[in-house]
Amino acid sequence: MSLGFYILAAFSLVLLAVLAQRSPGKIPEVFRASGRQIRPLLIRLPVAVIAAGLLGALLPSSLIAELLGRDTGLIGMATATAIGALLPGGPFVSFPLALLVWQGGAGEAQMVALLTSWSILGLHRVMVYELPILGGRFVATRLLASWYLPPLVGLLALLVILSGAVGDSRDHIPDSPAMTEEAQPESSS
Amino acid sequence: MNKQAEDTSQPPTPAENNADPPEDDGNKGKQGGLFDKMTIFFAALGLIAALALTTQRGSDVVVESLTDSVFLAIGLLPQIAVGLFLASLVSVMVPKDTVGKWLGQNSGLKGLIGATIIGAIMPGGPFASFPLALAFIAAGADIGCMIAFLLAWATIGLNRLLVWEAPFMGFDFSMLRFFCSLPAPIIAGFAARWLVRRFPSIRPDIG
Repeated sequence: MSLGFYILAAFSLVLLAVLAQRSPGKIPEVFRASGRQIRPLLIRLPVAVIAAGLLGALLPSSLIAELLGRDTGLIGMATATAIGALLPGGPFVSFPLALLVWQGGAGEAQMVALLTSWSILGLHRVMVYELPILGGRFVATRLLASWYLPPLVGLLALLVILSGAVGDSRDHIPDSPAMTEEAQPESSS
Repeated sequence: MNKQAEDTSQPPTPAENNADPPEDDGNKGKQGGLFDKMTIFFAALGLIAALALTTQRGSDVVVESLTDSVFLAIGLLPQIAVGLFLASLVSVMVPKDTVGKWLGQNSGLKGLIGATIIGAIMPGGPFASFPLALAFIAAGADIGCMIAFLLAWATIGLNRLLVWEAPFMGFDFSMLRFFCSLPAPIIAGFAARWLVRRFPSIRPDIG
C-alpha cells in the first residue's frame, strides 16, 4: 500500500473527527453514501482489472523502442501517443516498461509524449476507474478535450531540446536493473 | 481547504440542507445492479483478450495474468473504499455553494488554475482522484474544472513525479516533461467547457 494511501486515510480520519465534533448527525450519511457507491464496484472493478491485465499482456514491448527513435518526428509523436495510451497498469508497471523502451533507443521527446499519453489517455485507468466511477459521458468529454495534448507536449519538449535549453538527459539513464529493484518496494501511488 | 469551506458557509445557511440533495440525486440512475452493462462489456473484452493471448502465447500466460489481476483487485478494493469514504466525507462537509463559487461554471480561469493546483498537490492514486472528482461534480463543480483537476493529478502530480518518474527516468527528463505538461490541464479544461457548451447533449448525467 502506498504512502499516498496512508496520507489520505489519515486525512479521512481527521475530517471524520471534525465532522463528529460539528455535526455528528451527518456521520451515518457518510457511511451510507460510501456504501452505496462501493456496492456496484465490487463486481465491476475486479472484472475490469482482469480484462485490462489480459489486454496489457498482448502488448509487444520489444518492438516499441524501434518505432520511437529520435528521428521519427511527427509520426513518432503519434505512435508514442498511441502506445502510451495502451501501456498497461499503474506506475509500478509503466515506469519500468518506459525505462526499457528508452534504453532501447527511443528519443526524449518521444518518451515525453509516451508518458504524457499514458497519464492522460491511459486506457487501463479509464477502464478500471474512470468509466466505472464517472460514467461514459464524462469519459467521452474528457477524452475529446484532451486527446491531442500528448503529441503537443511532446513537440514542445522537442522544441526545448532543439533550442539547447536541456542537455542530453539520457546520460542520466540508470542502466543497471538495480535501480529498478530499489524503486519497486515504494509501491503504487 | 475543506475546513475553510465549512467555516465560510456556516453563518448564512444551516449546512444541513446544503449537502444532502446532491448526494442523493448524484448517485441514482447511473448505478444499476451488480451485473450491469458495463460489467458484461468488460467480461466480454476480457474473454476476447484471453482467447487472443492463448493463441499467441499459450494458456500459461493467461493463467499468470489472471492470478496477478486477482491479487491486484484484492489489493485495490480497500484503497477504493478509503477513496470513496473520503469523497463522501467531502461531499457531506463541503457545501454546494462554496464548491460552485470556486469551481463552478462561472469560475473562469481562476477555477481552472485552482483545480489544477489541487490536482497537482493531491497525494494518492486513482482510487482517490476519481471518486473525489465525482463528489465535487455532485457538489456543483464544473466539468472543465474537474477535467483540469484529473489531468493535473495525472500529468503534473508531484507525488508521482517524486516517487516514480524522477527515480526511473532521471531528474532532468522529469523536469522537461513536467514543465512541458504544465499548460495541459488548463487547455483541456477550456476545451471541455467549450465542448459542453457547443454540444450540450454530451454533458455528463452526474450531479
